[in-house]
Amino acid sequence: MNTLRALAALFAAGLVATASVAAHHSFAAEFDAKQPVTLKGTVTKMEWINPHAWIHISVKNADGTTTAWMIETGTPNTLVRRGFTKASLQPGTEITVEGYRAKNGANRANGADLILPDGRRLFLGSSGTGAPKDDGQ
Amino acid sequence: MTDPGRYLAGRRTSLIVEPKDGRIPALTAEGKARVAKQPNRGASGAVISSWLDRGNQERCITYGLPNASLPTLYNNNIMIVQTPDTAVIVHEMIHEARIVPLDGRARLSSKIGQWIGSSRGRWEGDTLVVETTNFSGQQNYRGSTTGLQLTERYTRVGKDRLEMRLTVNDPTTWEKPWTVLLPMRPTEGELIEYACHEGNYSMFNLLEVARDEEKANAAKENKK
Repeated sequence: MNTLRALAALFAAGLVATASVAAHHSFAAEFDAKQPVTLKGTVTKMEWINPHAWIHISVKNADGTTTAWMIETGTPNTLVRRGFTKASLQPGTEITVEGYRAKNGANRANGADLILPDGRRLFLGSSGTGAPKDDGQ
Repeated sequence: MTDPGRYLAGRRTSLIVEPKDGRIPALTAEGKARVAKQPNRGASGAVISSWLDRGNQERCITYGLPNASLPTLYNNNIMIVQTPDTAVIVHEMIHEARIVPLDGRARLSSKIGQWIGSSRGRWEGDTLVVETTNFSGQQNYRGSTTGLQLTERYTRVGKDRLEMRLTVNDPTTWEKPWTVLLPMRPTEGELIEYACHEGNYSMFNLLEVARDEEKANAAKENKK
């Protein structure tokens, strides 16, 4: 009997360093590392999409109106490993997000960090970090 | 998920164990010429006139091979499903399922090419050996061609350790074959379904950004 012959086995590769780093899409084509944003708002919807989940938030403006923003995050399994659950970001949850704005000034951002009401800070790590030479491709 | 200190034996600093310097061998002259012609999609100013200018992974088509078998930034999860005459290797990325017959059947005709090739497998003792050929060339790895040959050897080396030894050979691309030794360990839970195309806001976003840049550049030209 082959020791490998289990009916189903789920394995994860043990490290990320490799000759070819490939993310699902390009940070540089979409977001601007020179436009960091900090957004304080209320969650309206969380989309658990693999490979990039999106958080929709409503940000209150100085004049009392609100603006809808979309925040891109990392993959569902990395969010789960960092402590997110499906219940973490229910509609109405107040959060602060630090990230990088879309290059064309649209109300979308690539999320870097998320700060929960209790002060916990979670890394959202998506397609890029905005670090030098991080072209995300 | 990421623990090179604990999971890489011998303190090696490269996944590549052959050649001994841990580097992908030099490209052949033909390979160099081929790579030089490839678009750099990550470069600033890369052409994005339509989704057709974007890579196959961004378009949710495939990561290709050996890319799907090598670790990247995230979702480095595979599931191996086995029956007596077939093994299926499921990759979380693009939920690609590679069906590997183990019954000794003949290879596909060399006239047939597929995105992720065609695999045949066999057992050598406790090692599952998977050989993949018949690539269509629509997805290449660092300039590889339809002549790409991959040999994956999966060996369970301990209760919680699986090793994959992957040899990559394409004589018109690299001066010699090269081999990766990748340790893997079990992970909890099931693979999370990949919903790339359904949720591909990114494609919309990067095309919108590209169109807006064109408009802004045209407006600047008009002012001159």
